[in-house]
Amino acid sequence: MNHAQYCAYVADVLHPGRAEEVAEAAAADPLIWAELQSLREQMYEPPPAPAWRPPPPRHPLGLRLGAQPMGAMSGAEATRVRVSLPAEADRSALLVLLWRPERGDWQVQLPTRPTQVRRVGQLPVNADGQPFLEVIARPEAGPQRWALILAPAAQPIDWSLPEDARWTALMAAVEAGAAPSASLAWPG
Amino acid sequence: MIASEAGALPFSAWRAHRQARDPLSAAQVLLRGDAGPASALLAGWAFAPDATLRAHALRALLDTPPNPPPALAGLHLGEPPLLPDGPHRSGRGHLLSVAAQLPPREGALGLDDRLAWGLGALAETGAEVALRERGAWLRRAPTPDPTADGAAAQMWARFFKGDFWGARPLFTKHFQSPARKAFRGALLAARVPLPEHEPYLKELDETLFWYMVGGGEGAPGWQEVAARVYESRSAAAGPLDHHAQALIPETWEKAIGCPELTGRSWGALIARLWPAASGPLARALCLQRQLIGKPDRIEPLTDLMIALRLIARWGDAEAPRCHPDEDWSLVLRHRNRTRGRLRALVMEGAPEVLAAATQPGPGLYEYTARAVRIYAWCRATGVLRRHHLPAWEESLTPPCDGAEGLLDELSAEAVAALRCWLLLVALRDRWEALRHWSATGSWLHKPDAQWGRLLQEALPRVLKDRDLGYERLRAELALGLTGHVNAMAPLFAQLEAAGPAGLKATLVAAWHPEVPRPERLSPGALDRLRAMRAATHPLGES
Repeated sequence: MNHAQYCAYVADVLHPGRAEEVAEAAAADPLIWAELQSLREQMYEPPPAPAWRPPPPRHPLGLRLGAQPMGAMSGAEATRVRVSLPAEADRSALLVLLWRPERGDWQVQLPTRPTQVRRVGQLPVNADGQPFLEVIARPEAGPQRWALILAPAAQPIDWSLPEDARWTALMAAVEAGAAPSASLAWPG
Repeated sequence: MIASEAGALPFSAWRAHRQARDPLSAAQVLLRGDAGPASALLAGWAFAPDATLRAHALRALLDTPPNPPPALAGLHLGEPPLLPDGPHRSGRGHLLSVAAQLPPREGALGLDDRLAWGLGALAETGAEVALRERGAWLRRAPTPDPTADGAAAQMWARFFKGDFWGARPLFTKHFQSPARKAFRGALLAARVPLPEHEPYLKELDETLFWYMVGGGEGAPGWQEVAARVYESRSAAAGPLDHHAQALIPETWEKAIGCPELTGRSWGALIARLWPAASGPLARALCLQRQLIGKPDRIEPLTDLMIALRLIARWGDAEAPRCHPDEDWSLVLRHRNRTRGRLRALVMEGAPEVLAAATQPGPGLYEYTARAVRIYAWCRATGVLRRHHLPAWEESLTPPCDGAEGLLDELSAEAVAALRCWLLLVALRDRWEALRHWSATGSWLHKPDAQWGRLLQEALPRVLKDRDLGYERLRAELALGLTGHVNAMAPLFAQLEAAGPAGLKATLVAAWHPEVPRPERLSPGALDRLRAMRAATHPLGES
């Protein structure tokens, strides 16, 4: 028996026979019992906190987004990307744009103050009738992602709340699919 | 009392039991032809109730007696050392304690000692398999939690309806934390530095549900989790049987053709049970006849396969591997692989079984949480291999590739045509050529125009493969030639009664229209048919 098996036991992923073996060994050996206790503490997980969890790029449950690189120099990845929404997107929905580096937390890019609130209907429309906006990558941050969320008009942003609580309701709406969302990766 | 019945025992009880087992006496009478006491030592193995399978295990032991090194010879021979009673353990636990304190045994072992060692080792390992690999699954009782069980049932109902958005809040609320815990456990197990955990956990948080939804090739995560729930609710003799009960013939097609069941280990089992099964189709046909519609055969056959592997390793003349830890690793490796393959097939081919397993009921939350934890643990292995989480569309369970097709059993019409063609082969004096060809795939003599015509021109179309090859026929003959000849006994009796004068008329009356009828019978025709019967010895027919 070894450390990996103890970890698997505490994580409760061993099949029943293996779990019995570890339990018997722990009952017989205080050192093993102590190691299991220590692992239990290290593996404690609180209930999940609200978070942004938009669909990964190209996921079928996500909004169908178009991404057109703009102004790329020869051999370089364009840092400006025109992102188009489906033509049938709800024009009254509020647009929320998130950004994060590959290993990092989502940050709300837009809107960060009430004057930045935009509805889908306020976006320019391309020749196919699709509303679009342009986003600009930060090459210095390495691989990164954007997420677009269409917040239901019936669920306005409560600017009176502190920033860490302001988005909780919208996070739950994204979680339940009530606020359509999608994400894009850069480089694409 | 055996360990499989008693579970964990104190050392003194295990030692007394081990002494009472007396494998040396069992080996000595086995050498004199009495397999009774030796058979009793195999009680823990699932093949033990089957006299034929049991005999194969003992035959293998006699063919390849173990060759334990001096340091491990005392594990199953002589009196074990006296150790303090201490905690209750299974036989394997006590064996490991004994192995650490055994003095090397001096002097060469006699054949009876070597057989006794093997019987003792088989007894211990079989008891451990029964205790840990079957009994433990049945002993595990979940704790009912009506609220959580209800939430799990709601979530499952939504997954099965394809309402992923509806399932998501329930999944996140109830199963995200268990998944994180297991994922972190896997990182700890691999000794990934703690500062590295958080970025991976964040990635998991964001990706886990999308793994569940899937959408790429292969099964989505929710089906993989549901298959684990089904497996955990095993109420059969063991998890392998439980999976096998869910499989339909079309799914067995993949099981029988998958590398796990056609590889070296199963190949050795098939070679021992059906030595005439020379080609892949013949081997597939053997398994097909053993397994399809007989789900309770997979545990005995898996156990026998494992026992044969152990016996082969113990008896290796150059490098025997006899340590109980190595034995148990082999047991787990094979059982886990077989269980994994069957689980994948249940997932692929038995959606209604998965739906039934996730119906509301006491313990559903616990079963589901455990399945999600295992899923997350497995996902962490992707991180350890590639330093990032696999893409959301990447399924955890690889599909079963390269499966051979199942062989349809011959129709009554095809059987009649085959038996008539066999008569023609004998009348053309090519019976030995046929036996040789069915066993080896090669021609007894070359060139042999007569044999060539029998195969290419006289063989009814229904007996040829789709591509006009003969693999199906060879598999049938390799396994069933004796049966076909025996089935023609009434016709042979009629031919004998008719004698040379009435031979042709009797044959014409019984002849199949798809087989070319010989215009003339040579004077020795009846003798050739008699020789056909006499020359057909048992060929390991299933």
